[in-house]
Order: sequence, then C-alpha cells, then structure tokens
Amino acid sequence: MFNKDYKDAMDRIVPSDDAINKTLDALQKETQPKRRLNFKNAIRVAAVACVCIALIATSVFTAFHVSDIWGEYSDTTSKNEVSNYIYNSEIKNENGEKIEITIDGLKQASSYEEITELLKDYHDNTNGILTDDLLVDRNEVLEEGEFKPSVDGTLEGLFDSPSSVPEHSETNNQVKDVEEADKVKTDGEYIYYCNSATSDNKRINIVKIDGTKMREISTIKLSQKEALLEMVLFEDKLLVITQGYLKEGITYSYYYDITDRTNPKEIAKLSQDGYYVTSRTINGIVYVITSKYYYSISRDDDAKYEEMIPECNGMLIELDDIIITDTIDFPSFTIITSYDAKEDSKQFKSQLSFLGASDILYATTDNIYLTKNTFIDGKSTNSGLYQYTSVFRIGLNSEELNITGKATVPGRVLNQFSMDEKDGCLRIATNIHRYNYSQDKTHVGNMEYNKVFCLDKDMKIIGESDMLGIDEEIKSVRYIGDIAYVVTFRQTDPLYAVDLTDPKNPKTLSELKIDGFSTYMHPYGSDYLIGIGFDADPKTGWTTGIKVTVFDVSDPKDIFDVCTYVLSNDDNKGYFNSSAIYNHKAALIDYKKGIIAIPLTRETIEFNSTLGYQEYQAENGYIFFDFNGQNITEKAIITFKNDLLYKFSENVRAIYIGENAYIVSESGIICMDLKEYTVVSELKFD
Amino acid sequence: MPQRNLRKNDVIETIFNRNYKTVYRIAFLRTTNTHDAEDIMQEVFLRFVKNNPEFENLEHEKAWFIKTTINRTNSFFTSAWKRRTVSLEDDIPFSEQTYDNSIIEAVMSLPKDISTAIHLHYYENMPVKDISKAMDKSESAVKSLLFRGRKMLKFSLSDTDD
Repeated sequence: MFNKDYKDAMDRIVPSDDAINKTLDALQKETQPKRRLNFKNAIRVAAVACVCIALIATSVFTAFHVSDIWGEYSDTTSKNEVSNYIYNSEIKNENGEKIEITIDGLKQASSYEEITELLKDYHDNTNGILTDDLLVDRNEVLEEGEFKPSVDGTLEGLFDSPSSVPEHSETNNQVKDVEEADKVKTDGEYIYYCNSATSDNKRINIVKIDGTKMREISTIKLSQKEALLEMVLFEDKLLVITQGYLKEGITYSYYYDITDRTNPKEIAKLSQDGYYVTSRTINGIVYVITSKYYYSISRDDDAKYEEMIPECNGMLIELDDIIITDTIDFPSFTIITSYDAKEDSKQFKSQLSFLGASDILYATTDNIYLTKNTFIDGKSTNSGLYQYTSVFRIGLNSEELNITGKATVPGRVLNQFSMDEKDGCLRIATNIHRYNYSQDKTHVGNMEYNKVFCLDKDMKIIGESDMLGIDEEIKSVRYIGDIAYVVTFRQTDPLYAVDLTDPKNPKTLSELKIDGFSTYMHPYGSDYLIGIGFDADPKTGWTTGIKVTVFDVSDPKDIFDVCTYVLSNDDNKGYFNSSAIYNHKAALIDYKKGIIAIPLTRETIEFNSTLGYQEYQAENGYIFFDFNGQNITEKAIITFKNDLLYKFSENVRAIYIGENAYIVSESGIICMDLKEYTVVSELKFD
Repeated sequence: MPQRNLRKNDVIETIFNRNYKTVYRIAFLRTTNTHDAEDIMQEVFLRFVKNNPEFENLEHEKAWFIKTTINRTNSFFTSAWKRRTVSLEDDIPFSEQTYDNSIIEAVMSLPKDISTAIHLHYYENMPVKDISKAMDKSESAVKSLLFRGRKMLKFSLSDTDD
C-alpha cells in the first residue's frame, strides 16, 4: 500500500542533530533582548542619513506609516532613521543618477559542447539536484508513445450549410488578433472540444451546431500516453497540443486538415522538447512555447548531457538558433517554434531556443515578450533588490525568430496581463521585494510593493509609477488605453488607476479599497471593468467565497465599485469556486450581447458512513449574470447533472453562437437560449 | 499595534519539538535536498519567533507552520532570503542522506505542488479543504493535484502493488 509505505519511509526523514541544535541556538539568540544591537545600527544609519540628502525621505515616510513593514523593528525612533536610508526609485539612485541593470550578454552558441560545458559548470556549482537514475530513457519513452491517432467520421451531410456563419464568441484573448489556444473552439458552425474525460479515451469532439440542434459528426482519437492540453483553430486547420510524459517534458503538435469536418486528416505531427508553456497564433503562424528543465546528473556522463540539448522533431536545434548566456542561473531552455498553418507543411517554419526558463508570455501582432526571473546580488549593488525580471522581445516581422531586445525590470511579473505594448513600447507591472541594509551592510528590514514601469522602443526603462500597495502583492492588472488598473492584496483589495500617457512620468490617478480581491479584470464597454476574484475576510485576509465586482472606470480619476455579487462558502450550501479566477479563457464576457458568465463549481463534503470517509461531491456549470448599470444579479445557473469527477471543473467552457449559449464539458454540451435563459437542448458525449 | 508578550524560551522549545519534523519533511520534499531543507527549517522557526503569531489551538499552530514552510520554499528559488540566514551548510559536513526507498524518490520527483499535496494528504492526513488553505489553491485545484499525483505515482511505481 502506498499510504503505509510512504508513511514508514517518511518517518525516517528527520533533520540532523546538528541542524536541530543550530536552529535552537539561532532561536535562543533571536529571543535575547537586542536593544543594544538596534541602537548601534541606528547610530550608524543616522550618521549615513545626515550625509545623504534626504529629500525624498518625507514622502517615503508618509507612505510607510500605513503598515508596519518593519516586523521586529517596532521601535519608532529606529524606524524613522532607517527609513531615511531608503529611496523610492528603482531607476534612479539617491543622487538622481540612472541605475542600469544589465543581464549577461546573449550570444549564439558556437558548439554543442559549449552548452554541455555550461550545464556541467552549473552541476559543479550546485552539487546536483537529482540523480541520473531518475531520468527516463528518451528513446524508450518515444517508442512507447508511438501512437497513430485515428479519426471516426460518423455522419455526412446531415445538415445544409447555413448561408452565413452566425455571430459567435471567440476565445477570451488578451490582445486582438492574437489567438490563444484553449480547450474549446468554435467557428460559428462547429464546436471543437478537447475531451480527456477518461485517460484511455482522449479525443477531440467535433460537433455540428444548427441552432438548438447538435450532432457529433466526428472525433479525433489521441494517444493515451500523452496529456491532451489545448488546441488552436485556424480556418480549415486544427492544431492539437499534447504533452508526453518524458522526464524533461516533450510537447507534440498535431496538425489536422479539417476541410471535411467529418473526416479530419493528419497533416503533420511535430515534437519539441520541454513542458508546454503556451501558444499564440498570429496571422496564421502558430507559435508554441515550451520550457525544458534539467536535472543535474553525473558530470562524466557525456551521453546524458548531450540529451539535454533541446531538440525539435528528434533533431538537435541548429546552433544558429540557440542563444546562450555566459553563466546559468537556472538550468533550463525555452524553446519557441513557429508553424505556418496557411501551408500544408510537415516542418516547423523556424525555431529558437535560449537558456533560462520562461513561463509568462505576452504577445502582440508584432512581438512576443517572454519573461524570466533573474537574480542580482542586491547587497553588492546596495539597492536591496535581488529579484529582477528579464524581458526578451522576439520580433515576428522577419522570416526567422530573433531576439530583438531585452530589458531587466526590478521585481516579479504576475501573468500575461501584467504587460502591455503601445506604439512598440512595453509597459510592465511588477511586484518588488526590497531588503534594506544599513551602511555596514547589515540587514535592517524588508518591504514589498508594486510598480508599473514604462519602457521605450529600445527597451530602456524610462518611467516608473509610485509605489502601489505597500506590503501587498499584485493580484491582477489590466491596461485599457493609457490607463493601467492594478489590484493589490493583503487584506483588502485596493484598485489603482495609473495614467501612463506620459511614459516618463506615470501618475497614480485614484485608489479604491474594497474587501477581497480580483484576479482577473475584463473591460465591459467603455465605462466598466468587471473584476472576478475572491471575497475575503478583511481581518484575516482568508478567502471566503467568490465574487464578481463591477467597477465604474468612466472617470479614471474617480473609480468606484458599482455593485458586487458574492457567493459565500457555507458548510450547508457548499464551497464555491470558479476556474475563471485563474484562467481568463474560462470567462465569457461580451458587452454587445450583454453576456457576463463565469464557470461555477460547487463542492460539498459529506461524511459517507458506508465508506467511512468524507466524500467530495462537485457540481460544475456556468453562472450567467445580468448587469443593468446599477445591479448585478444572477440570471441563470446551468449545471451538469451527474457530471463526471471533480477534476473536470477546469475544462468546462461556455461559448455563444447566434442566439444560443453552449456550455461544454467533458460529459456533453448544454444549449441555452440567451433570451429566456432556459435550457433548450442537450448533447451527451459517448 | 498591540504588543504581545514574547514567548519564553521553554515554550519555544516545546513548539519547536512539536513541529520541526513536519516542517523539515515538507521542506525536504520541496527542495529535494537535506541542507536546503535544514536552512528552511531554521528560517521558518526564526520567522515564528519574530512574528510571534498567536495560535488558537494545536491545529492552528500546525497549519501555520505548514503554510509558512510552503511559502518559504516557494521563495526559495525565486528570492534571495537565503543570503540573510546563517547557512548551515558551511558548518555541517556535507552528507547527502541516501534514500534507497523508491517511494520517497518517486514522490520527490513529482512537481513540487503535487508532491506537497500528496504529502499533506497521505502523511499529514489533511483534508482537501485544509490543504487548499495551506497551499493557497482552490479545493478543486488541490483535488486535481492529488489526482494527477496519484496517476503519476501509479506510472512511476507500477512495480509495486498500488
């Protein structure tokens, strides 16, 4: 039994006696009165403060008193003096000089040995993370994973094609004309759905839609050895992305010609190393981004090291397309491939790989921005900042993929919505941790805040906003025109509006505090912003349910919350959740149609006396709202009866075609009339 | 801010003894090596002494330590808090413990979040609701982590009878 074996094995894992004693010693030291030490520091700091021009000190200090950022330093005198030492700019130092942080130079790899040597150096410096016997043999996995997808065409010419394609919803893309992959796609006539209801029956359902009539006309069966992730639809091409279970990850892209929807034909099966990160489709070119992570292995095992060089379609990526740095801070590669869906190609159009893991991507029609965490010793630069984000810009306007710019921005990026491009200039919101040191480099406290930075066309930082949400972290960002709306959170939810019209001098226009926080914001018309997120207890900061808030942003200088809809967790009613909270693609919001809908999962926990343990039950569906300008009310909740397991809550999507909404889950599709908000028909998948 | 009385040393030691194994095991699973886990253990207890949180009951105390450990290990690779702590590895002779046990290895090789969910569920016997609070994830996300974890374990431990 796993349960017992694991318990027995884990019981034997205890820290060494030395570590226990060291920790106890450290704890003892910590509890000793340390007034003298503080006093000493305070004198040093005060001396420094006298020398330094403390012009900004007053503004900093007024900003600071809102929260106790000093932890142990609750003594107000020392706090005053220490705060003198802090300057509130990340891009200028105390003397008003520009701080330029540059990351290691990028260069093309000159040989594959150079790459393996870098990885070996990393191994030497870190003592290794995992042993090589945990690595799965690449060849073994590839052979095992060999599977020919098959297509089941069931019906032909059942419906007459409608003369014009009805109006239909698109995937909730961040940027217009930049298509994101998702579990469900529609072209107004058909619904395509990634269905992995059971692990031995992973498939794409293609369903013909004719008003309220729904018929499944074909399925594409996929290998059970691969995880079915997402798909992209471009005209008569369907791309299905799956991931194999190779240790360092391998991502497959299947391209299908679906000109005949009843009989999809495979055009190409392409593979690239790494775990799937995301994909974008721009003007018919599909970009698939993966990250390949490494596990340190024995230095002498050259064969294993060679396997670590990224491959596409089983071939090493050409040296011209591998960008490396002089040192490695994290042993991983990001791999980007492009494929021209306008042609029936069997190969990638181009590929690019660079050192460093990247998991947040923002794309416009001209550029892809990839971010990567970078660490710089803040003690040596005396800035107290350690964590930076490197942003790589990849230009899409040439035949080959090329890095056309890079920047290093202080702090950490939350997600793709943290970035925005206007006229070729990037704006980026980050969460910054600053450790503060006194002159003798002893650590005197730390603080957390958020900022929006403006970059120019050469990716140089030219402006920064005020500190937003001191001691709080960013929960969501949305840019509308030149205004950045930023939600930060610790216990209440301040929404900031930052004006970026003058990129050299961003201004905070307003601030609004309400309970809970929004993790996703969607513009609704020109006057409103819909925030989807959690309701939280203002005292503890613990989340208590899900909530949808409508903000009036018609005047960015005076934003206010119009109304809020809350579904509170309750032992009797159950626990509510919505995948829209962490996946924007699950939200269906359309201003023209007046649709506001998010997925809803209701979980109940009951003690099952027969089985002798607590049993979880979950209901999945969508909740539709009505917003009349003043109030937001629940219009309909559509749930799947006898739905499969809880795990599928993430895979439920709603779309609309014409006058009907379709709620798609792994068990079937429910069609709902958008005038009456009633269920009119239902289709069950086999 | 109301001043709270600092805990006396012997109280701290009792709380340390009650929780250090829990903290260490989670840290070990998430960092996959012993000396980082030991560093994190020290950092978590230092944080406990500094913040001096008030606990309603033993459950709450344990939950606090679990959550703090997860948060500390989260920032382990992404922040430089490590530099502020006296590193234990300088003083302790490097001795990588050998885990001939394939179960630990299998769990450790899972993605961090999955191994943590599995550990909290099967070792600490925490219900999904508590795990979701400790990991700052939704309950369905935790369930999905457990589901995936079980799947992946089945895959990697296919020789054993589970």
